[in-house]
Amino acid sequence: MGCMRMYLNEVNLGQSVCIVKNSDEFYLSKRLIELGFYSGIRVKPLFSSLVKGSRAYDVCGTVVALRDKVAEKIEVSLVSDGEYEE
Amino acid sequence: MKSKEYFQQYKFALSGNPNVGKSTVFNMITGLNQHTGNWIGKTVEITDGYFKYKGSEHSIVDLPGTYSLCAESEEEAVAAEYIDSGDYDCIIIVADSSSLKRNLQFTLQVLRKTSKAVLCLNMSDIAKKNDIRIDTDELTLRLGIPVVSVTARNKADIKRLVDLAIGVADGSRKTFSVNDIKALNDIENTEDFVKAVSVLSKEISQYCIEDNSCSKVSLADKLLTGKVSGSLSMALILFLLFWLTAYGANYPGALLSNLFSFLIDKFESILLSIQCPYVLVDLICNGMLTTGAWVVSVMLPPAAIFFPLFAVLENWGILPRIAFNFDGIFSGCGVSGKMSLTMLMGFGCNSCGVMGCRIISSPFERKAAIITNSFIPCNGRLPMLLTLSTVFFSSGNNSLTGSFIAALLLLGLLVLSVLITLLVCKIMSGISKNRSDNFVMEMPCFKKPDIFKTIAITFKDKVFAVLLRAVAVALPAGVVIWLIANIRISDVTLLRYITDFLEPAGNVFGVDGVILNSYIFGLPANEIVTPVMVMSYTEASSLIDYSGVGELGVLLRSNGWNQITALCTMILCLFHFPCSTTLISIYKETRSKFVTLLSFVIPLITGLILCGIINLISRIFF
Repeated sequence: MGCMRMYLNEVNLGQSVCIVKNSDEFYLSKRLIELGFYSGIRVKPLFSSLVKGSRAYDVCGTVVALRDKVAEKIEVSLVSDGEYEE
Repeated sequence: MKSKEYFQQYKFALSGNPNVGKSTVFNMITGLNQHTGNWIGKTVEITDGYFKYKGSEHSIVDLPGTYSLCAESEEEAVAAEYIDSGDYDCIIIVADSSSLKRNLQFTLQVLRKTSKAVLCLNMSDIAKKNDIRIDTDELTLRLGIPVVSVTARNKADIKRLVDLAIGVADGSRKTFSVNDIKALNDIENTEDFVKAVSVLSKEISQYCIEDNSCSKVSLADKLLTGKVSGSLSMALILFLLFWLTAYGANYPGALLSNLFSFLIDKFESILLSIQCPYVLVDLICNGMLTTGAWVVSVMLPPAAIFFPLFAVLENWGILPRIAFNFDGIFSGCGVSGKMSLTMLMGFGCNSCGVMGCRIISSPFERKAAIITNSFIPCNGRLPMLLTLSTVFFSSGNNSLTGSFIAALLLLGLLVLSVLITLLVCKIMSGISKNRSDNFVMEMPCFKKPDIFKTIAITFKDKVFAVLLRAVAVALPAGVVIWLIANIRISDVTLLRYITDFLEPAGNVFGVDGVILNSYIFGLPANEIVTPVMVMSYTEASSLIDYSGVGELGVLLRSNGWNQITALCTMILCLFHFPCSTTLISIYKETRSKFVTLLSFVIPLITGLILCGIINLISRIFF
């Protein structure tokens, strides 16, 4: 069971990943934590916007839209057998 | 809010994350016994109300929905300030049962400040459907406060919630401080505090929540965000919104206009019968009241349709999908996709569009949205655009080709207003150092809105409020217009002197002095631009209506109008200074004379430049 490290914007739609590390920018990181994007939490990209640039993610039971520029600051781990680790 | 005969007992406050159904809980508790206003000194809206319970009356405040009490934004500051004040008997923390893991963070932040609280787990029906089980007893132990699962629209559940809250307020239900939560007060560094809260909420979730839900994309989201279906559904929603507003307003508008004419005539007869001087009667009836009546009959019907429709789309969950879909366009111009919503609101009323910019968290993006909101033609300007495009670009008849051309032109102008908005935002973001491209937005699940309550509350909070503000400026404007049109110097009215003075400037921009003057007098309300124009051309002593587009076309053409004049007038209609109500809203929202001045100057300069270019091209080539 290997863990591939990648960033949230690189994850395919419908694939569950686990957050490893949030953004380094304080205000962005704070907002993301408050919305449920914190270490150990499972996230899944659901769908993309009509005009390219944003995607909607399932996190902690809610759907949150993030720009790709924000998602590329969130490090995640993809566990190859489909489970998530905490 | 005060009641008449009931004894005022306890004070409650509702708090929680956005989109947890707080307002639904509030509306169920208070009914329509509520009022929306601004928190003192701030632009944050607060709704307060009261409810009666077993012979007593209790007040309740709906605090702004926030993700945190760390006071980075005005909403957070207001919520934190209220909770710190201790001026309440119980805080009702509303959480979404389906996303309790996240909502616990805010709950813990509240509980570190007070234990006079109840946790209301809303949307419990949806949580049950998604196979999410919450151990409310364990949660009660770990949080130290009573916890109750509710479905907001269920009256019995709301009664249980109110019973618990009253119990905490009167002390019959005990609450206690939990050490782990109180320990959060010892953490001074905000970053460490936020992380500690997330760790504690995760720990509590592990013991209290069993989440077997399986996330999947809803059919509605697939429809609204799919490449083909998304474009079609967005276009359909926007088309229906505008078409219902424009088409639905015609008949009620005409009815209101006739009713007001009848009432003003009657009032005039009464005043004359009591020997009021004719000049005063004319000033009051044909000056002040006619202007006010005109504004109401043009503004009220579309506002009464647009705002409730907009509120239904908002409560349904459609609006965030619109912002999400179009964010890519706006991010390219350095602003947020949420601006698409404030622009939409601007179609109803620019003043409401400006106030709606509160949903944009970035200060720079909010200012850009506020400054450019008046590029979007409000309901007061759309009739003029429709009329002129019909009179001058559809051959003035009802043929299919003619009306198709007029509709295309109108659509082209609306697209132009959106493009210019984006261009100006791009220029502003290029000049400004304060740029943020961190678009993060929660997308609430689709909920069937309570249509009747939504319409009732929208009428109360938006439609009548906007109308009152407009009438408040239209009445004195009516007096000024009457004076200008009736005071004569050497047998020439002041109005004529002004329009003659403005004539050379008007000619530079492809219009005439009457048109320029009408826009100046339209500062109080855009609805009076056309009647001021008609009054000036007919040299009438008060505002008069035109009885049909054909008659209006004859009048305008006999005063030298051609298609270029009409086009330049329409461009000026789109791009000129905001109305006074909007300017006041801009100043109240930004507290900046500079931003208010920019909001006045930028649209005006844009309009004059475009008209100048069109006029120059027409003179060279035609």
